[in-house]
Amino acid sequence: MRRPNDVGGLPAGPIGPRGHEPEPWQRLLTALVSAVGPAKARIHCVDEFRRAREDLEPDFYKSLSYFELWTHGFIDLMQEKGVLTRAEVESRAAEIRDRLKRVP
Amino acid sequence: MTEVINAKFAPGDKVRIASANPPGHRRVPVYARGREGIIERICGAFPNPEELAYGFDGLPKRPLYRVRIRQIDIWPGYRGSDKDVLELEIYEHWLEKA
Amino acid sequence: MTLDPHDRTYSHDHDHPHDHNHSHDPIEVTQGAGEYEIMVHAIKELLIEKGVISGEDIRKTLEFMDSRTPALGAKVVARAWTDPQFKQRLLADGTAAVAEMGITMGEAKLIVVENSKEVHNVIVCTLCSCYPRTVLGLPPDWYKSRNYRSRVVAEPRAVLKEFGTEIPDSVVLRTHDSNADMRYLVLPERPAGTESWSQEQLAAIVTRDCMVGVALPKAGMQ
Repeated sequence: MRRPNDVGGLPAGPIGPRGHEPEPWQRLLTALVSAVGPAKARIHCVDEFRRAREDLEPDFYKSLSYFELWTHGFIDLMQEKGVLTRAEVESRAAEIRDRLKRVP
Repeated sequence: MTEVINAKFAPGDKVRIASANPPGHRRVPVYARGREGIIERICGAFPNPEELAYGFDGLPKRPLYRVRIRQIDIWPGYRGSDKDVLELEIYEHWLEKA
Repeated sequence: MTLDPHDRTYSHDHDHPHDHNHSHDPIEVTQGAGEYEIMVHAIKELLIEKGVISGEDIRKTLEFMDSRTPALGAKVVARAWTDPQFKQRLLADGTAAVAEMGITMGEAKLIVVENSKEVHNVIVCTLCSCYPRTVLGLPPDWYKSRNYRSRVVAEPRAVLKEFGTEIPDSVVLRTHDSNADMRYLVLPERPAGTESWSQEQLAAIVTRDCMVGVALPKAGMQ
């Protein structure tokens, strides 16, 4: 049984662009995962986070880029841990969008 | 490495990686399952990630080994030297003597 | 071999050119934020409000991340090139050797693998994106991409060729899949013509790509 992350040896295309480094929001996401996990709050460990990403529905998983995977895996894991819910995240995201619209 | 490990295998031993197909979080890639290789080194002992992934403490620690496999034993039509190898880390419970 | 349409690891959801300023404070949401950036900020706000972590925790974590760059790995390599006994200690126990230089590995252990005239090493994590962050910082997109992770284990020489690195069949290629608790650093071969160089000059030609094993350091680069 091959989980969606287990890609060693599968057919694939050329290696992508070399120079792209993580964007600020991607670094922030990395920091959040680290701080909630092993670096500070220790609510989860690295292995749980990997498992949460791998558990995403396979077709959904394959449609996501690396940090999109991290975002969804992290939300699922935080919901599992009772820290927050996906609904709360979506609601807050809508609020942030409104805030940004109101900025002159 | 200061801790004492009760390791079943030693560097140079011929081993086979299990063909097992368990569900859930595993750290043995499908390409490596059922393959034969040799123990390259003992890495130490660590809590089992297959259990850590579900909130267990993963104890007792399990011995972890680096296993060296010839590329030609993994991929049909492998392009390169017959001496090329692939090395990865396998926990003791996935290994048996070959 | 077709380009995998799902390999979007290098896409991002705003469309200005790549040389725009990436140094704006990651804690502040940007005006042109896309869907995922907004989601991440929503998560951040909720985590802080619920008292799980503080803004200060986030800043400290970001600062720690920023302190980890390939320059650290390059210093380790330069020292190994100029100090044979350090090199032996590095190859025997990478974790202990880099600790001598004030670099503390986290829970993972460091294994340093040496390139030579007979052997070339390349690193991957096929199952996710394990990477020696303590000495190299964050991994580049290509390292985490499905295409690299799928192909470098099965056809390493073809992948290296895409990076402009040709390894003759007379050299043994060792591919390391860091799938558990070890992290890997490639110790490249010291190029000819650098015998009189200082450690700083040597470190300057040791790129991140050399320490992952997809490139070779070049003396002419200075």
